[in-house]
Amino acid sequence: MSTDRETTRIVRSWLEDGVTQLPDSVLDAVLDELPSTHQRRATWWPARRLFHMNKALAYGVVAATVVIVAILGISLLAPTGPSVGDQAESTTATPIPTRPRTAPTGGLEPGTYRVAEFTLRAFTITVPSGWSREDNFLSTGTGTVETDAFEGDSVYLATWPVSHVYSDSCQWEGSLREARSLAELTEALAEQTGHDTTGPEETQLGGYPATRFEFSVPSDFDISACDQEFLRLWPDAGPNENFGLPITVGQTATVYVVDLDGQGQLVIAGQKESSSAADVAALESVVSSISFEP
Amino acid sequence: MDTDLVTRAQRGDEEAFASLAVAAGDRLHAVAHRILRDLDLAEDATQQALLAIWRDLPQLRDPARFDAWSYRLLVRACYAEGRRSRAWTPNMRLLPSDGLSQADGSSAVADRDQLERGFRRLSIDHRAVVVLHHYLDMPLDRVAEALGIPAGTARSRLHHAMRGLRAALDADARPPAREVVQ
Repeated sequence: MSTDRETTRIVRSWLEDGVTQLPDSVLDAVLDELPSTHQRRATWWPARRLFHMNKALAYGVVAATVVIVAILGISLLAPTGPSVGDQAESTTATPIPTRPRTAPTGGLEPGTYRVAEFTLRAFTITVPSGWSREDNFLSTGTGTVETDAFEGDSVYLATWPVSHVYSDSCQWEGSLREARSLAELTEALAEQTGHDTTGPEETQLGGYPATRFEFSVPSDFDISACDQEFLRLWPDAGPNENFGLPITVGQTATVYVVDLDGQGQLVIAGQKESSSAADVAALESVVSSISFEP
Repeated sequence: MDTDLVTRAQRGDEEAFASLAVAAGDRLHAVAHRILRDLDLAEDATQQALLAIWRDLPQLRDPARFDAWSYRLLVRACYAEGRRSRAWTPNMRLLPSDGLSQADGSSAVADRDQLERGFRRLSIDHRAVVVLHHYLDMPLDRVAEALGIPAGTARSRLHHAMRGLRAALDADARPPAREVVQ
């Protein structure tokens, strides 16, 4: 009988056999087709479609949400301080803190992850089953490289360092205004037109003070009147207008401007009118799990 | 990978993309051939993957992730080619060669035959994990990232696939019994 090591050795050796060079004819055929193959422009996010949630996944999220709520409930109901008799035991039972793993791109297993990209400061976040990560987005469903922004009813959480904000999210072309400081960013978002705004409201997120806005676009909004037929809130920092956050009809983006010691960090929770209650509950639990590192 | 080339190709620079395709074409084709086990299918899959890369390149936000991203598109093209062709369905069974034994020094050949059979019985999902991990030496967390699957799924697929391949190898060690072509 083969051992695991032996099997691995044989498989590796077997895989070495095979072609290693792409025939020129294939390469030529590809290059010949380029002029007639249009590139899909990344004028807005998500460039990757968020799939509809299937029933099994929805049940998984519901189950995970129930577990999270149960754990939170138990932790709230449990005594917060050790009794006198527990003192010696609690000293020895203190767990050694372990650093959460970095959230990889693609599907995520349920658990707590560390995110250090697309944020001014690293943070940890806990996701239930059925979530995936793509760039600065954590969302339900699995990403794919198809276009069709916001098709489907998935929910997402994004973090976004920005330097500019559009003055008008509908007539956004040429409307950039600089928003580098916390005060400028909060003011620019409060004054942004093009969509419905609720707020600002002072709150807390991830252990820091934050200002909360709710941006929404009604289902009957005529998006065809907007530049390139979509609404856009801001581009990547720079500004790099190749990428930016859109908002579309029937969608609500809850935007937090988190005050990280004087610097403004955006955290966005997006959902659609058609998003399921389970998805929305999961999104709320993911938002509340954020904890910025000191 | 030269991220400057990627950035230029993202902006529609065909010359930059040609350089990228030359640089990436061989490794993509090598991987496709090892997953599909068929030269024609591998060439078609590589061609489709390169065109998909060109088409979707502007949507790649981080040019430094080009390699992992290109493997994801390649594996997707392998799925498409696999579906299109019935030539290598997992149900295909081959008769073992008569007279093949470990005693005559041909055990390596026998291993390869058995591996080929065992591998063809695996799904593209499982083959992709085996090839990326054991051929490209990619750590499993990067395999998971490239394929857009959780790390646990990548681990479990690799385990399942290797168990199947080990069983295929062990089958060769058992007394020969002719398989029936179905």
